[in-house]
Amino acid sequence: MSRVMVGVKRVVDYAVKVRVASDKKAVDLANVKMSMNPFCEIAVEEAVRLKEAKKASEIIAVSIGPKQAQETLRTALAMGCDRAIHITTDLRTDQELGPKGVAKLLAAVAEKESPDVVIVGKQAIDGDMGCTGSMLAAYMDVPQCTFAAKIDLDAKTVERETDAGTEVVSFPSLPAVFTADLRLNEPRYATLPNIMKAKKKKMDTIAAADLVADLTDGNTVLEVFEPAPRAAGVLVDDVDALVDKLKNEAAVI
Amino acid sequence: MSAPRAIPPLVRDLYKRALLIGRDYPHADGMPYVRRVWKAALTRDRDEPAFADAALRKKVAKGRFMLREMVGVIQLKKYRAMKRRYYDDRDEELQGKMRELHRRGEEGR
Amino acid sequence: MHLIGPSDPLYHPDPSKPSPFTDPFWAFVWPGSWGIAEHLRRNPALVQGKIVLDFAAGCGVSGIAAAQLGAKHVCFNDIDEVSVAACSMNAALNDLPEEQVGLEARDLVGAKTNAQVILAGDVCYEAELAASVMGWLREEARRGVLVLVGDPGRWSSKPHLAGELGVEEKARFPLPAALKDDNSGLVETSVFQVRP
Repeated sequence: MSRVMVGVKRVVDYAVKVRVASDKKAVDLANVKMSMNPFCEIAVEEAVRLKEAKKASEIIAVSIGPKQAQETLRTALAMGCDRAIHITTDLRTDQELGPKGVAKLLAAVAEKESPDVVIVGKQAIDGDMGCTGSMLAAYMDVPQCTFAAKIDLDAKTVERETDAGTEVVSFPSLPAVFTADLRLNEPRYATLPNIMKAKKKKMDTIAAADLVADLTDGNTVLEVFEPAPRAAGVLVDDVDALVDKLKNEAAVI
Repeated sequence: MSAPRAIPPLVRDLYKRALLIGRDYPHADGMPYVRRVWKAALTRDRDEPAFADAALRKKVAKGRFMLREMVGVIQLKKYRAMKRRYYDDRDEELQGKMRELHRRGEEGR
Repeated sequence: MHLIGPSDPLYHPDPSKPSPFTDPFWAFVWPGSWGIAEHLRRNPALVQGKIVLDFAAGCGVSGIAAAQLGAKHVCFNDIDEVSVAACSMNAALNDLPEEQVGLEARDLVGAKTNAQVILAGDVCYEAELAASVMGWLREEARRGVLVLVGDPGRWSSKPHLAGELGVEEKARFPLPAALKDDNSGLVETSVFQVRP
């Protein structure tokens, strides 16, 4: 049976319409509802299903962020994780702490916990970077299976989402990193009895600086602005019309 | 007004569960809406003579069913939002047209 | 609810028919305690005519099972007073005669009890407490008490419920759907005996 580690991120709730802060340097987080990144929920659910199928012996949930990240970890525990590790940092996890820093931190935890299976969301809905999983696999020096729509640990195969549809790939061995796509599963909802019981599960706290000295990734946010309202699209009747438009209006072919 | 009767524990538990789920319920008025609707539903029969255990449990079971429905709405809404936000460029009709375009390009080569 | 039998909500904990109490930890039937009740139902001789202690009783499901199966006396113990009150009410709801029921709301860890059987459901729930509770239960077992521990295989329990520690698995039951829903990630529960 394998040990499973899942990364979970606390982000602005998917239903919140974000505002840009007045200094145009970030999204305004004051009084904004936060919750677990939806793709992380899918990662947690997959881990819990592995445990329920007796393919996993233990699930460790890891989150990086301010004190409130513990609420997100409690949700993960309520969904069925066994214990949690909170890595504390004052850096804003939506922009100051990028995928590189996160991957280094998770790799440092993985070195201590030696999980066989690491599952993270394919991306977070705040930064939308979508590369933490890949970078983590690189730092851990293990195989990666990204955009997983189905994970089969026995057959060592993963069905993954691609632009054209899905493909099945096999991975050589565990440990490996998997990133969860939307179709991997439908995550369960953390109910009241589960939330109450999750309060007693073990949660360790480690300062980010004690794990990784350099968390920077060399990027600087210059300006944050709202997207321009999109011009209305046009419906093309058939392929000929599409070709015509691509040729004469967009000039791309 | 008559003195308020103690809230049966099962009903109190139901309301607690409703408030927890209500935080995520997708409605324009959010929590206040959930509070209002659930309070109304839970107090509707308040003045009826005390329920027999079985009758109360039947009502509570209906309440729990409604909670599961609310959770379903939350999950569906979130799934759809993610799908629209990250996958709708995979519009099937458009994909079909792109595939045909690709095929024509191959033929014309 | 009258008897812990297949028609009873305590027996088949269903979200629509829970134990009739709200609030914290005594409000739910716990998987370990449910497992002990199941085990006793299959092996009533374990408690018949015995003095039983339902340690960390919660809602009291395993103690009530023991009483109904013929235990001479069942003491419900929990450090939470409200839980003990809940046990008392559940015992009354199940028509247990008063002289068969005892209530104790203090921390018994370390004490020498007069029990012949100790039922301990879900006691390794908090990693920090598990060691001291199991140490005490082992001492009681050495004094000749039959100690049954119910546990659904939690991460915090695993180090304390191994065969090499003198804790022997006696039975294992799949959890009913409602208990699975309330305990995400758990699918079965076991009953262990702490060997003397």
